[in-house]
Amino acid sequence: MKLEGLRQKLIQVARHQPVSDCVPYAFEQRVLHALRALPPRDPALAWVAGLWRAALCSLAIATVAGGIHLTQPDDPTAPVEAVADSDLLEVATLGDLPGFEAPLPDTLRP
Amino acid sequence: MESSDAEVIAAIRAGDAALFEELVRRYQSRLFATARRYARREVEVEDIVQQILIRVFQNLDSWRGDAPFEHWIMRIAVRVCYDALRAHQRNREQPITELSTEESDWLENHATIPENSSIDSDAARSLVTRAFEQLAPASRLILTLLEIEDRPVKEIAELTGWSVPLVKVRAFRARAEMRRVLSRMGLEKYL
Repeated sequence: MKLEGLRQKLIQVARHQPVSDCVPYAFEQRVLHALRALPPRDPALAWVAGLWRAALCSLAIATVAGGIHLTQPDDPTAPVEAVADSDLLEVATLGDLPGFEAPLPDTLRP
Repeated sequence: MESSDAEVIAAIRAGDAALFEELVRRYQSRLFATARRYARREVEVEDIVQQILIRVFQNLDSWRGDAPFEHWIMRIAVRVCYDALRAHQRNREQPITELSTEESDWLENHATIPENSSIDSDAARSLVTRAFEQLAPASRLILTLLEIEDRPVKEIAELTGWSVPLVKVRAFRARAEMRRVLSRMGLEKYL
């Protein structure tokens, strides 16, 4: 509490402190000289910078999306359609049941 | 009659780059006052203002004229000052030196009767400068804009490009950081 009092007092001191706005002699000439000394801007560089920024953004999004995907727990209720050979999977599951005899296809029946 | 900012800018965009001198003359004193809040030495101040004006010239095409030019130039000024603070922080060590006799006297006086401690003394000003130099750039910027220059939160959000909630969060953290800095400077023992 006492530190907050001191802090406010110091802020009051800073607020009361005048800030000079005086400008050095011929400062505008210095600025114009600096502007003339600047190399001309290459529009291709702006494109390259933009593309770099876009590439970094895409990389960041891909990293975040990958991270979310990897950290998500597997959903046991997820549909099985995603499995490419779901028919085989079904037969294998039924065949594993005790006492279940898979019916033979017509061509194999005696 | 003096031409408006928009007219001068239109002429510069049309190719009369020498007219930029007119814009520099109009705004340089405000820019120097702003830069002096954040820089320690006069050489740094001149470099910061030059940097602001170069950035203004390079981005003049992006000023659309829907807001006053002064707001736009001050936004650039605040961002360049913030960049300068960050660059300065990367290059510096942060030693906390002993307090001078005058500073100790001022603190003792403040501890006895806080209302009577002078806000005009050099010792108090020196303490403020030392405390502010220990602050992180974002904290220093936000305390300067909010508590010293007394600007509204919404205006600070526009100047810095931060959201209004972020400005409030940073202001809260900055006050806490300043209290920690004062404690680290050993000022607690005077209170």
